[in-house]
Amino acid sequence: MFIFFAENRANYKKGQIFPFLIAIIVVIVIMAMITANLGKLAIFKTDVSNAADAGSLGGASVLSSFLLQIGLESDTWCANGIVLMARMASIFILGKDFTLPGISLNRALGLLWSNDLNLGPLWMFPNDLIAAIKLYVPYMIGFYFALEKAKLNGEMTWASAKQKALSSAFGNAGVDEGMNPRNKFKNYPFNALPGSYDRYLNVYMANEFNQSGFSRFMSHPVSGFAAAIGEIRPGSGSPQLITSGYGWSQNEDESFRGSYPGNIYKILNKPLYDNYVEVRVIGRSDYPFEPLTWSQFGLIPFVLPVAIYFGAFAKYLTHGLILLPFLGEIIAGIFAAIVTAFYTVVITTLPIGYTFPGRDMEKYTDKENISLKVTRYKKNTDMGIWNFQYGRVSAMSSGHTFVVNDSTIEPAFLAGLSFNTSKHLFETELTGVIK
Amino acid sequence: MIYKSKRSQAILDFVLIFGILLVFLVGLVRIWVWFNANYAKRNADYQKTRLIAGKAYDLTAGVYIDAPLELTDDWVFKGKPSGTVK
Repeated sequence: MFIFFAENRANYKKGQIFPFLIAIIVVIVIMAMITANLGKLAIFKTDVSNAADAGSLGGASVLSSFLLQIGLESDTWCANGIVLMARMASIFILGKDFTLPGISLNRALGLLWSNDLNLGPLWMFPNDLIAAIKLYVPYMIGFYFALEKAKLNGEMTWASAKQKALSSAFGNAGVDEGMNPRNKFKNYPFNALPGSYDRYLNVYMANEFNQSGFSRFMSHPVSGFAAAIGEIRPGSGSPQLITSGYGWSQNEDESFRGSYPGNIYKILNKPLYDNYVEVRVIGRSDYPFEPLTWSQFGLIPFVLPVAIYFGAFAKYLTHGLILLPFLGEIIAGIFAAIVTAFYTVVITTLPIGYTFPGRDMEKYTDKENISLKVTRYKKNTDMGIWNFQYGRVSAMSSGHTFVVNDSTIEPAFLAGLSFNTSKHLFETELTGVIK
Repeated sequence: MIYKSKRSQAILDFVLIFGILLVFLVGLVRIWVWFNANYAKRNADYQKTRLIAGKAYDLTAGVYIDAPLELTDDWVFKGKPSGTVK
């Protein structure tokens, strides 16, 4: 058979299969292009999805670490508050602030009062009150300043979380803008600038030569990737919605140009460059911290005023008996009642840490998401046989910091009578797309 | 007569061979569609694992398990896909 075909080869018309071969090759090439296009889009999709997830988690982790810090501050204020109450009790019962230096044990126990140069309960009583007020007022001023600072920190933290979300998202968005050192070297005006080679090495290479436009965009938060956050003023909060983006194109000479500084990568939704990455971040603008008062813990703090009453009564009675032996009990009782009332008001209003409105931790952590939408745009590329279709590929993601094992920003001391700071640890996770 | 018979033979050959080629081409295109569908499915499946992977306290969750669409006879010969990509 082979011999037959070989002998009759001359009778065949050559090249008949050629047009079909060409057609099939064209079809296969188009199929390969479509697959390559699909693959490129899949890479974009993975990139933007990674970027959105990284941004959400990055932002949420900033919130988590801030809540830990606020919890520790709460612990500090709780300790301060307990010390304040103890000092006041010491003043009302013993007549001395036990934290002041130079006080002996006997004086502290109130055993040597009769040797002191006091003029009895009429002078001791106002002195005690003034001493207590002198402790109370600075504490309250200090606390409310600290509370305002915590609120402002909360605003800054949301801004920082959004900034972190932006930087994480941009960093993971697969921006493939290249550098063009050779072209810059070629165009650098060596002859025009004196000492130009040194300048080239020390200034140009150090600052620009080694950086792409995107790198500069990322290394300048204020004028670069986080410019849209703007300035945070006390009370204004961080903007709830932030949109930032970077666009770049490749020139015909293979060098790149980008949209740094600022975020001018599109105007009225029309891209100014062949590529851009856009990140939108949505989140709260602040944390509504409130003072946590001692009275919010029910009857427990009110055991103390009872002790104060009997302690103060005994103290004023001891001295009352010296000058006014007959009315001593009555006066001592009145003074003890007044300082007890004062002490009760102090306890009722004494802030000993921070909390959220309604003491609802979950409402302001679990249910407050930081949400991202990352969009990658690439202009269609006509390869002759196939026009690569890109357009915009987007992905969304949300993350939050959440309560785990009764995490709280309230003083950990109140949770278990020990300063177990792990109570302030909030966990971070993705929550899916929140539209 | 001999010439004419050779020509009709060639036409017969042409129709037969190109019929077979066409069937091969249709099969090829369907396999290509299967490949691309799998490409998209893998990506979609992977994206779905990311949310679980981003959850706390479950280090085993979110591992991507490759579950491609099956290339069945029905898909190649009858054009019926073995699954869908969501």
